[in-house]
Amino acid sequence: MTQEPEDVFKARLAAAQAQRDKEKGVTAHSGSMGLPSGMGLGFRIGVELVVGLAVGGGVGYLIDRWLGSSPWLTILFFFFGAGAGVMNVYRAVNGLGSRVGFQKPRDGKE
Amino acid sequence: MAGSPLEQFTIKPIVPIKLGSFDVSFSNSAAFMAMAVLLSVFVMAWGVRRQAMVPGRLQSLAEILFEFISGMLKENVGPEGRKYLPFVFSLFMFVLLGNLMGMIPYGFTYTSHIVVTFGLAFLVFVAVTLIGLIRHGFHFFSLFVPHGAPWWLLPIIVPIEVISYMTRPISLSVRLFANMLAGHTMMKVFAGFVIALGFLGGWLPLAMIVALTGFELGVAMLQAYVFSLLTCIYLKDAIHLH
Repeated sequence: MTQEPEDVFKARLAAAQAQRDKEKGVTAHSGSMGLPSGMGLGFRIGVELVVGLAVGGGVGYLIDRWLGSSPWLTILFFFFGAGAGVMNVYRAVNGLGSRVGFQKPRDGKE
Repeated sequence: MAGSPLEQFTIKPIVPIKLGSFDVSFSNSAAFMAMAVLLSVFVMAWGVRRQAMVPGRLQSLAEILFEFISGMLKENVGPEGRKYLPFVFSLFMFVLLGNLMGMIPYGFTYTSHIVVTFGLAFLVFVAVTLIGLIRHGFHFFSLFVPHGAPWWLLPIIVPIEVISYMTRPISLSVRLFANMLAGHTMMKVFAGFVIALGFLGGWLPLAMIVALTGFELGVAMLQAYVFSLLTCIYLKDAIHLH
């Protein structure tokens, strides 16, 4: 077998991969994540709610300790955390995965 | 009742090592992690050693695993995601083997410890954040500003988005850890019932254990899948942003 130069091979490989991606019609926008079981989804929602609260409260507490403004920021961030938890649940239920900030408006399907 | 259902999660040092004031003993947890790494290297390296056109059993296994993760990455991240295949694949194998080896009697499930799962999830979190920052620079922070939100809502929405971003490693790790912990505890509790109810009443919990074992095998694979799928989704967020 004759040895071809590495850069030639790399170019050929890239071309072949691009061709294959085009044939398969692979795009970056499928992202459907149907969690199979209802129990799994329910469990996930429970976790999202609690974790949102915990992280919000934790962040508030840390900033409070840093700035010495206890307890006001803990209270404020507790509510932010609650908001984040509810928003995560909303996204999970809408099948938007765990995306941060749905920049793309939901276009019809998915 | 024989033994506590939580006893299976205790970490026992096999080779005690002290490093200064830190206990870095080689524990049963570490032993199983090492076994998982060796086993995955073995499956992948030994499986493809001949590269037969018609694959044998081990080669099929290696190919199925590879195709599965590679396809998942393509579907969720797109062609740019190929670069991160080794990362996601290693994560998947480590979690999958940890979950599955825990199903072996007398085995130890290292994924039932939140330190382990949180370590993995935090690694994903840091890696994804760095990838996003490197690829997009400061533009990365537009991730926290939702599309089309009115300006007066931003002081409320941006902290919520940031917190929502920070919950990722925690919800990722808690999900895996809690599933493993709950499943294995439940099996031990039912096993305890078999002993307690004796020959007459023990058959029902025994049948339950058989069903639960199958269920747990499913959960083990599903959780490894969810873990790597969410890693893919986070990667997609960091790479595509918009």
